[in-house]
This record gives sequence, C-alpha cells and structure tokens, in this order.
Amino acid sequence: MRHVAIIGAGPSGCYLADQLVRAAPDIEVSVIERLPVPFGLVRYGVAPDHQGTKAVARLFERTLGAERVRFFGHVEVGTDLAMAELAALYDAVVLATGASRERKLGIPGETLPGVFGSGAFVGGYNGHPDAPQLRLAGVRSAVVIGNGNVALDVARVLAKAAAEFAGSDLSPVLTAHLAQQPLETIHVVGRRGPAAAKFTTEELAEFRTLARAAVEVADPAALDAAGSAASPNLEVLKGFVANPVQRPVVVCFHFNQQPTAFVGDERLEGVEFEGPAGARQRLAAQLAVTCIGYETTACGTLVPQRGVFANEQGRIGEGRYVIGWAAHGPNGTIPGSRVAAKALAARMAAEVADHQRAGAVGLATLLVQRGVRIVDHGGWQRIDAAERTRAASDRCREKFTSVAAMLQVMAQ
Amino acid sequence: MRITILVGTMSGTAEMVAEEMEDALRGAGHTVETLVLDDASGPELFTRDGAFVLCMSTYGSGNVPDNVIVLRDALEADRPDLAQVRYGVFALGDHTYQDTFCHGGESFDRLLASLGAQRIGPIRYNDASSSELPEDVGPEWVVEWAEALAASGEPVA
Ligand SMILES: Cc1cc2nc3c(=O)[nH]c(=O)nc-3n(C[C@H](O)[C@H](O)[C@H](O)COP(=O)(O)OP(=O)(O)OC[C@H]3O[C@@H](n4cnc5c(N)ncnc54)[C@H](O)[C@@H]3O)c2cc1C
Ligand SMILES: Cc1cc2nc3c(=O)[nH]c(=O)nc-3n(C[C@H](O)[C@H](O)[C@H](O)COP(=O)(O)O)c2cc1C
Repeated sequence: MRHVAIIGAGPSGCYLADQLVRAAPDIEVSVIERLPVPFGLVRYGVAPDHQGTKAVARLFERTLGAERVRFFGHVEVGTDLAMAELAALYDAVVLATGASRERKLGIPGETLPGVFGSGAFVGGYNGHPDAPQLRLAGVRSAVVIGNGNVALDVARVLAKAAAEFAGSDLSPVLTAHLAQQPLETIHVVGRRGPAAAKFTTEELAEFRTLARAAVEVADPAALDAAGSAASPNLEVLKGFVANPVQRPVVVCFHFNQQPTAFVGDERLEGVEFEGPAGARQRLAAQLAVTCIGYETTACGTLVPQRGVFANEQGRIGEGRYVIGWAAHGPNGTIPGSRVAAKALAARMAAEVADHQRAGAVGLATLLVQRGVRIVDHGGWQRIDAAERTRAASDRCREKFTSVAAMLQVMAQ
Repeated sequence: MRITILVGTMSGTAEMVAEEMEDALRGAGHTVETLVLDDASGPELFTRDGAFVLCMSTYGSGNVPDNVIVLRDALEADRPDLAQVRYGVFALGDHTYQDTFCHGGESFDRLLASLGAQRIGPIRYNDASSSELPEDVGPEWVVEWAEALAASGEPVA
C-alpha cells in the first residue's frame, strides 16, 4: 500500500482523497484536520442561507467514510505533531490547508471596535470556533469593502430579514441580534470599476429577490463609463438602476473608491474613501467588514511565500504536494477544487513511490501515545447528528461553536 | 437492458447519484456503464448499444456543467441523426435559481430531441434546496424508468 496524508479536510482535501482512492487501488489516504469537524470553508465560509451549496458536504461525508480513507479530526500539523513526523509515516504529504488569514487594508483605524475582517465576520456568522462572537451595536449603516463574492455574502446576510433565514443554519440567537440592528443602509464599496468586480453574476442578481432590501448604485454614470465591454455584472447593475424599488433597507454599490481610514473615537463612526481625481468622501458606519482576500499560513516547518506555497502544478518537492487555496490563493470555487483534485490525483497515482511506511496505523499510534484526542469519522458523525437534533424547527442545524462543546458530545 | 449513464457535473453530486443509479440498475438485472463526460466525449458515444440516462446538473445562469460543453457543441455542430437513441433525464438543480431551474438538463434534452432522439418518460427534476436527496430518489426513479423503457419496445428507426 502507498500511504498519502492530506492536511486539511476542506473541499480540496476531500475531493483529493476521493480522487486518489479512485485513481489507484493501492493508495490509502489519511485526512488530517485541526478542527474536530471537517469540510473547511463549506462549513465555515459558504453562507448559512446557501444550503444548496453546502449540500456538497454529503459527497465529502461519503469520502471520509470510504474504505481506504481515514479521518483524523482535532489533529493540527505543526502543533500535535511535526511535519517531519508526518512525512516519516507517509509516502506523500499534501497541504490542503486553505488560506485562513484575512488580508488587512493597513489603513488607520482598522483596529477600532466595529471594524471586522471577513474571516472574523464570516467565521462569526458561521460559528467557527476561532471567530469572535459577533456583538454589534446600533448598526444603522454598514460598509462592506471588497468586490468579490465574500462581500456579497456579507451584504446579503446583513440585508436579509429574519424570516429569510428559515431553513438555514444561521443561529437563531445571531439572527435575532442582526434583526435588532436599526439597519438602513449597506454600502458595498469597490476599489476598481464595476466591470472589474469579481462578483458571480447569479449572486449579484440574487439581491433582486430579497424581501426587505432594495439595490442602488451610488454613481450610475460609472456603469456607462465602464466601457463598451459588456459584462453580465454590469447588465445586472443596470437592471437595478432601471427598476428601482422601495424597501426599508438600501444596499448601495460604490465603485472606484479607495478606503483611506476608519474613523471614530471609541468605536467606528465612519469610513473615508478617495475616489477618482482625488475626490474624498466619508460614509457613516457603525460596522465595517473588509472582504479583500486571504493568505495561507505556515504549516509546521513549511512556510508560504506571498500568501501561497510555491509549487509546480501542485508539486512542492519530493513527496510533498499542495492543492486548493494553499496552492493558488483565495480565488476559485468548490467545482474548481474538484477539477484540480482530479489532475493532482492522476499525477500522484503515477509518481508517488511505495516506501513501506506505516501510514494511518502509525499516525494513530503516535497520536494516542501523545494523548491527542482524535475525532475519527464516527466521532464527527455524532457531532453532526447532535447539531441536527438540537436545531430549532426552522433551522437545519445548530452548530457547536467551541471545540470544547464538540468534544463534549463525544464524551456523552 | 444495456444502459449507459452520462454524467454532467460540476461539484460531483451527479456523479454520486449516477453511482447509486448504477447499483440500483444492476440490482434490477441491467447491464450498466457510467461515463463522466469530459473533453474527449464526442457524439459517437450515442452509437453505443442500449439506452442512455442523462444525470446532469445546472450551473452559471442555466448552463450545462463545464464537462458537457464539448459534447454539446459537437452535437450542435455535427447534428448527427439520433433517431435510434432512447434516453431519460435526471436533472439536478436548485430552485434558488428560480429563472433557470434545471435548465442544464432541459437544454440538453431539447438538443437530443431536436436530433431525433426519443425521451422515455418525463424529466425527473431534483431541487438541491428541498429535503429530497438525489442519491435517494435517483436510484428509485431510474429503476422505474428502465421498466418504462422495456415496456416501450424497440426503437422504430
Ligand atoms: C466567505 C466565503 C464564501 C464562499 N462561498 C462559496 C460558494 O458559495 N461557492 C463556491 O463554490 N465557493 C465558495 N467559496 C470558496 C470555497 O470555499 C473555496 O474554493 C474552498 O473552500 C477552498 O478549499 P480548500 O480545501 O483549499 O480550503 P479550506 O476550505 O479553507 O480548507 C482548509 C482546511 O484545512 C484545515 N487546516 C488548516 N491548517 C491545518 C493544519 N495545520 N493542520 C490540520 N488542518 C489544517 C482548516 O481547518 C480547513 O478545514 C467561499 C469562500 C469564502 C471565504
Ligand atoms: C454557482 C452555481 C450556479 C448554479 N446555477 C444553477 C442554475 O442556474 N439553475 C439550477 O437549477 N441550479 C443551479 N445550481 C445548483 C446545482 O445545479 C445543484 O446544486 C446541483 O445539485 C449540483 O450538482 P453537481 O454537484 O453534480 O454539479 C447552481 C449551483 C451553483 C453552485
């Protein structure tokens, strides 16, 4: 048997595990995840009201329960064991660790209460154990900085009425907390022009369907100035301008605005921007969320450069591979991970050599000796079942938001 | 019966459903092969013996999955006569995308019909935002579909 360790149980790690066992009958895979729960950004990134997208977890669930695949949850490489120890147990090691550190703007006021990075805010509404509890106060106006799908997710979660979260896994407590904010305006602000926005068109168009929110564009002229290059996003934005509606909350898109400072005494009060020809403006805000990307972090002794692990088509070096956001940065979707996994699995099936290593059995022995509390596939299934069981009737799941609470389920 | 399941998928759900369909059809005594479409899939695959099941999702604004595009474009360009082809459609979609719900499966169905192929039974729709799991209903549906296929006799081409 050839033994492959995949670090990270997000889409990249799960698709790769599936493709590897399909590609070669003599490959066994261990999927190692620092949290007790798998699925990475499918669980903690994809918005709680997009359960259709989260449904891909059912595939990953099958993979983690498959023959020749073993899940090691609650095991952090670099903390619970060293990269070198892992490498000694397996014929190949794959980094599928994602890109968890949010980029910062590096402008004054970024640490004011009321300013969040997307990692903290999205992690917060998705119940990530590392994310702070979301505590908002008197949010009348929110500024979302960024022009990608994460910015749209944040704006939409703020814009939706409580009833629109039926069937989601947004916690009822948080739903009520959001609904309590006297929200009037959500500004979505991009540094570049509307044609350069990286929104997925369907996600932009989804704003048309919201119950309590209307969409405006701050400078409609910018849509025409954007040039003849017809982009589907431009068409959708023009549609919003052409068909105005009256709703209690306004989602206002701004383009060509460079943020220069977050301002406020004790808390955030506004965000300053510089527009074309140096024009300055200040948008009042009690909440700001920066959605400007992520970078990958070191995994044990392996250190990334410029936010990714340098690689040649997924290969870092002898017996070392990388896939997903850790390999190419925070762009790309879940289907893209599947395509990448097929390609890397074919390559690995052809070139990984059999060194007669101990694989999963050796890893389990080492971790047990060390007193690491492994959450295996069955353990995750119990956590999963407990989260579904305790959900309110109009929720599909109520997540445990601390590692301790997850491990508690295992103890019962 | 000989049945080929053609899979059009982006995130892999349709492939998982096809695997369950394959097991169910085998259990019912059929000879089955599953083909996950790719860039090498050309119109000649429709010269295989037996009938076809399309198991296909929808992406973008009502598009077929990326792995179906090469085949679709080739069928549109070559316009082969598919009069002896009989097929069924299991279309995966999500009603969140109201205007384009299952348009991938529907558009491929229209294309095959326009080339003379004969669909057996109605399109079976699956909504990812409903509680109905495609890997549960797909196998049940396909076994019934195969019965309808058998009852429909031989193609008249
Ligand atoms: C807010 C947001 C919303 C998104 N929405 C969508 C969407 O609607 N549709 C879509 O297609 N895509 C969406 N994406 C993109 C999608 O989530 C990514 O393409 C995908 O998750 C990348 O997969 P990955 O496996 O590379 O990384 P991740 O999903 O981040 O997985 C990495 C995993 O590795 C684990 N890990 C990290 N370090 C270690 C370590 N040292 N030891 C052990 N484990 C470790 C992490 O805990 C994590 O579980 C979204 C992304 C974000 C940020
Ligand atoms: C980006 C994106 C776009 C989608 N567009 C549509 C659509 O236009 N119409 C539809 O019915 N379903 C749409 N869907 C839903 C998928 O078809 C559905 O989730 C399906 O079960 C996925 O199957 P697959 O994993 O085999 O690709 C979309 C899903 C995503 C993530």
